[in-house]
Amino acid sequence: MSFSEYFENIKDSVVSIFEGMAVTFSWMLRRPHTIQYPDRVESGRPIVQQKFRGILEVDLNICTGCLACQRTCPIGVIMVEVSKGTERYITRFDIETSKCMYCGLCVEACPTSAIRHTGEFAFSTNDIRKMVLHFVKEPVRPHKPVKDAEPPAGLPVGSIVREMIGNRGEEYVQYTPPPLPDATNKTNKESS
Amino acid sequence: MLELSDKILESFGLSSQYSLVVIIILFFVYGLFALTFGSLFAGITSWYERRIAGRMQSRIGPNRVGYQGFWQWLADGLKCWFKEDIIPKDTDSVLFRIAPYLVFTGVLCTFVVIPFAPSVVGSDMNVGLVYIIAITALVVAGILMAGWASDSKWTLFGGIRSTAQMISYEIPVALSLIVVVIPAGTLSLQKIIISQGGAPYNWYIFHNPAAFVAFFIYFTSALAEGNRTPFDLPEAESELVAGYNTEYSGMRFLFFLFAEWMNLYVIGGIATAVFLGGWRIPGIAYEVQMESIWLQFAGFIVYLIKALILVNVIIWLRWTLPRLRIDQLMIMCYKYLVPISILLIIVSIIFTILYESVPVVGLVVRLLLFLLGVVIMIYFSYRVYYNIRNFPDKTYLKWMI
Amino acid sequence: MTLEERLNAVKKENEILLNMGPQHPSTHGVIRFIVRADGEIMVEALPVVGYLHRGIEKLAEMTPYPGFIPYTDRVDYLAAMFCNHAFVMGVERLLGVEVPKRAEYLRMIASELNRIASHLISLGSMAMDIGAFTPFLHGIRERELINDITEMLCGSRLTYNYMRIGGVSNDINDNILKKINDFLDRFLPGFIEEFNRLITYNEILVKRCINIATISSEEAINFGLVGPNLRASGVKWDLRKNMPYSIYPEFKFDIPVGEGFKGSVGDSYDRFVVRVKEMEESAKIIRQAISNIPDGEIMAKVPKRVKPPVGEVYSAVESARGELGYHIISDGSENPYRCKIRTGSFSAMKAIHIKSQGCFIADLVVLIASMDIVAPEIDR
Repeated sequence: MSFSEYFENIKDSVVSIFEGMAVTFSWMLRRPHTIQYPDRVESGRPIVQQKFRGILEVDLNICTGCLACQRTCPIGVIMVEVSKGTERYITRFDIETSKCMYCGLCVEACPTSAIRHTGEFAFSTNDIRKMVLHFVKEPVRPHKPVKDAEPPAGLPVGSIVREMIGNRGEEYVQYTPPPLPDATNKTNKESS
Repeated sequence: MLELSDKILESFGLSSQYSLVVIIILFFVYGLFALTFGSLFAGITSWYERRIAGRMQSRIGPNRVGYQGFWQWLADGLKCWFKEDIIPKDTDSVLFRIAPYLVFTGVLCTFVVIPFAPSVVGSDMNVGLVYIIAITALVVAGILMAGWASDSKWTLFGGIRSTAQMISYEIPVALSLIVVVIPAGTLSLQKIIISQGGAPYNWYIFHNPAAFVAFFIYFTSALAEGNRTPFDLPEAESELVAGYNTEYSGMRFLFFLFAEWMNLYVIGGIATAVFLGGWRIPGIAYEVQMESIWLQFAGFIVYLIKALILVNVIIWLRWTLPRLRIDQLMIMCYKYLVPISILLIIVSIIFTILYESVPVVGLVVRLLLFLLGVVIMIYFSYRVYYNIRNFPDKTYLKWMI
Repeated sequence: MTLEERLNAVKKENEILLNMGPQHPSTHGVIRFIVRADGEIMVEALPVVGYLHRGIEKLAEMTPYPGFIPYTDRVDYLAAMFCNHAFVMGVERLLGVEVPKRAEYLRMIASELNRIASHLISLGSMAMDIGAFTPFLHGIRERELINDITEMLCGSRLTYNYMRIGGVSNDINDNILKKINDFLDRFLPGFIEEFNRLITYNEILVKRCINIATISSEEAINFGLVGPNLRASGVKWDLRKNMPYSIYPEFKFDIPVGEGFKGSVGDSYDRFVVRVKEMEESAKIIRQAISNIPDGEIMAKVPKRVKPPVGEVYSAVESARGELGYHIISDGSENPYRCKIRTGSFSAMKAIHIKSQGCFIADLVVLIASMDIVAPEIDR
């Protein structure tokens, strides 16, 4: 190592360490970037953006029972059962939240946006079977889409699934689908 | 210690044949004080370091446990205390168990000579500096034991690297401290502090250019002795998964960490005692300080503040710099630090002789070096200001302006 | 050499057999290295891969084309846009679909943003492996802003699933454009200069990285290296300029090539600096693109069930880690017959094996980090 290299090493080390220390000290004086979620978040700051792909929910008022979401899902997370016969009833609409990869293909496939992403992302249970969300509490008539009209708005996004997540699905471990209504009872066309 | 014991015996009205008993009791008291001070310092430094590290990395450190997260170190300590003590099967049973205690003892014993205040010092040995360098060799033995007895090739690597590093860097530590011993004329730490002046330009760091450079050489070598970044290859997190203390868990692991954080204070304490004027207050003479107990207490606080500033710098360096490789470490020690410190001793001798014969030169050189120090500080603040001003996003300054 | 021969060699030459196991803080992901070392100097570092194999190529044979796009995200989750883009480009070539201009612009903006994000992580983890913890977190802070932008764009922060066969899924609006502008204003040159002052010009990093595992240009081509690794060895090869795809020919940007910035050409420091310069170039491309996005559709007319005609195609993009290519063989049905993925990190593993001879064990970490490998790319 020559003489000049020796001193150049010393000079380079001292100068670069000095500059590096100035940078870190300057960051110490600045405000940190952290958002202290969940209790010290500044009001007015959204935690997730509007288009965030959170937990799925389905609004059975507008679901047409076309099964497009079930076909599109690459993993097979959605399970829809529509009874055949004279009157179609949606008897089962399950979404396995633990298997879902939140890709959004089912949301794109739905013609009326009945199935949609919410902004919820916090959901934990102690039994994985409780993470299956059963949306049908009693059999529902599917919505009949009017030709060339805007699909109806439906319930606010997130309201349906927030009850289920808050509930932790305690009663859903042993699940039996609700029975079909009698075929003779034709006057009952209430949607849930 | 002897005068203190005589004073205590007089106030109780006993004869001086019991002085030995009083001295032993005083030793115990001082040992307890050193242990408490060291442990508290180690714990609080762990919290402080994590907060400072967080702020430098643009995040907040631990701030939930207690006010601003102050009891985090207590929570961590208690958790480690109650952890299961895992000892791998094929380890060397005796060595594995006593290694942490050796390391801890080696660092704790240096607290004996640190002069906390004018009359609070464990034992003002007249070979104080040599004692410090000698007793830290226990740490080397402890780390080597830990590395070997853990029955893993990675820990053996860590232990051997650490041993090589620590015994090599004891040389520049000793040599750079001798640079100050020459003008002081004594190896005892209290007397070195007494022989400095109160005002900053009378400190030994500005005494002659050799001592100025020796401060930085001592600082660097002491960092390497304490296994701190940029010299923390033996406990490198990303390469050896915590090196020689991989197989330790629970309280034994904490002992190693305790020793490391206590060592920070020792580094800072010795550097302030030798180079930065210790407990001297600017403008107050030594005799005046010895009389009044309030001034002694103020000296204690001043010493603490100066040592804490240096501890801050050590923490700051850890979170800025990458680490050196083992052969680069050794090259730096033997090719750069040792020759330069030997040269510095010669320069210091020359300057001391010059000051004896022509005192005016001494004053001029001291003032010039003090100005140099001030200029470096001002330039540093300018660079920090430049960094803050040049970053285009000003939202990070919201609570400052 | 078989395992027997290796063990015999270790016994004969008095070497140590170390195991840098699948769980290690500095191998980027789960990769295992069996290291034969003579003291501190390594004789060989044998990589053992396969701990992260998930069978993505087999899953492709059972999934229809539009449904496979989320799987392609997971091939390299740090640079997911490129994986999407390559697959979608291949299927479009099979179908003969023309992608609208606006969709191409959106694809390119998203891809270049993703390149910046990926390089931030790669540089940060290289610095972290060498011991400097702060640059990694500064990089993560900038990456959070990019994550916010992509969250506004497509709804997800890591596995985007943004591109569709024939276009993209979501449109851009003025809000997002403003956010991208703000990000670019603070990134180039404010953040990059500070990053350089903090770590790139730091003497300790320079001394750790120069002359480590120098790969000359012939060696790099022989190993099959791609991306920044190849460019750092002096070979000026970038798919965006040499085999242009999408709308890259319309933009002016430079290809940074390693020239021995502080050591020799093709060492680890060159790979570090080339990535820093690539980030600057990406920022320039995005600046040019934002100002003139054309109006139009974001998705071409593609049937719901995609059934490409019988044939095969190989489509490659220049991802953050090099050339990411998909060889898709279609037999006329809804699922691909075979989908082979070619990634840049896989070729780098052999380079690590050969180049590790003669380095220190501490240099192995630098070598692995400078090659910028991610485990999911190696064993998909």
